[in-house]
Amino acid sequence: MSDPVERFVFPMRLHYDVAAGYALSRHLRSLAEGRFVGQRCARCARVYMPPLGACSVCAVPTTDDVPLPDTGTVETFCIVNIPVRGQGIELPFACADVKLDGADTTFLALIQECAVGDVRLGMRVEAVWASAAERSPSLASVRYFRPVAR
Amino acid sequence: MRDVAIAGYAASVSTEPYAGNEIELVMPVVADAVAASGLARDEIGITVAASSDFLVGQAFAFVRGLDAVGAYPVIDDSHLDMDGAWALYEAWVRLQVGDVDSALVYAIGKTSAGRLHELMPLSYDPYYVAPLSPDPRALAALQARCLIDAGVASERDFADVAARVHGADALELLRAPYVASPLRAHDCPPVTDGAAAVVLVAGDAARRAPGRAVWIRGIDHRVEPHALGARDLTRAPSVERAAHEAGAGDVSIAELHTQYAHEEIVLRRALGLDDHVAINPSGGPLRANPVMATGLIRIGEAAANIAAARADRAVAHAGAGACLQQNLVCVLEGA
Repeated sequence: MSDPVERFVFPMRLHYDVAAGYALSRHLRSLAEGRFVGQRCARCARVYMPPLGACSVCAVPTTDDVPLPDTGTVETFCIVNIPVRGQGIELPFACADVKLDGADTTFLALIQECAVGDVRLGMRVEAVWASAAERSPSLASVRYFRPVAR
Repeated sequence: MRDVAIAGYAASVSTEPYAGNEIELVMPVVADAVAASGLARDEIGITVAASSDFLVGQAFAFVRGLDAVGAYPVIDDSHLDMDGAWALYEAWVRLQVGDVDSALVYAIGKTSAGRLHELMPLSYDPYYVAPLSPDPRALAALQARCLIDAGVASERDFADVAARVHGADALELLRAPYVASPLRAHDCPPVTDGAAAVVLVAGDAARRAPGRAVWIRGIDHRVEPHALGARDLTRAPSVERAAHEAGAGDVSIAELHTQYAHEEIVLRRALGLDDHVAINPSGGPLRANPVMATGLIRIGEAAANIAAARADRAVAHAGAGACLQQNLVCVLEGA
């Protein structure tokens, strides 16, 4: 018997055209303008930030836009000590779930301009936007969140 | 056996790429099917979804699909990476178990995001077939060629099917170039974005539903051998077996999962359908083929014809895999 073939290479490549969709497109456009715009469910009044285009609880489309401020609260967080390739953020850093004032849902945000040991649940934070020239329809238009100055 | 009826059906298909995301595509369809059933959403016992993350190229896209049904407070939910017809089968089994009385089945097929000729080979045999990355149209053409070589059908027969579906002249169609000989473009399905939803109800709840009840009288699914070379591609024994188990026969309408024109000839023979049976009055998959939803739409369209009293008894067929490898047959009847 000859040696068994233990492995073979099966190259594959998949191409996609991913549509952001109507709700995410609105969200990205508002980020390019340097402002947060959530959406309110007409049935249960929950405000989604970021907007998903749908209320996950009521299963109805969300169509009412709600302008939201740059300020919010840290709902939970973790300290990241592991480098992520291509990310380029100095370790360690704090990664937080932030709920903007007036919103009912949270989103992931980078916390900067404070020592990681000072990040706390319930901490008040505000968005630091990229300059108008740097902003685009991208999550990168928000550079990070920082503690609200007292 | 508990009597199970189709109480609501809705679908949305487009051969133009849909600009929204999957949730935006399926949500109105789910809402329409639930509304048609007369049930409130919180009365539904279980939801069974069918979609493929490979199709849209996003991990856990199927979890986001739950936004379309309202998954809080907690619901009883299941998901299949198969055509929605098999999701309907799972829901039907669950209704037979009897702990729930109604089910919502939905399927999402946003086919325009990926490239089917790259994606479909990943579902084939991973050692002998997938590394060759055969275009699904090429595998379909093998089956079409087998039919010609066996003297079962001719290219003219394929053109006759396509002519009926597209409202075209068969001789004119035969002048078109091949895309995978002996198949031409009109013998192959269009890239389609779409979604479909069906509400099933069991027992007394079904009898209380509005409109003419559409009963599932039989449902069965069977599979062919994995290796294409082990099959007689001119026949579909798994369809014959499923049709026998489901009690198909004596129908006036058949909605068939014919992604390629010649498959109608194979299925017509396997199901024993004569010329009096109207095949794919909806237009069928040659007109709209939202992969993952196409089979569920066959059941829904057959049910819609019975609900509208255009037929009393119909058969729906759903297929999956290369050359009709896996097949489901569902027999529907009006009250």
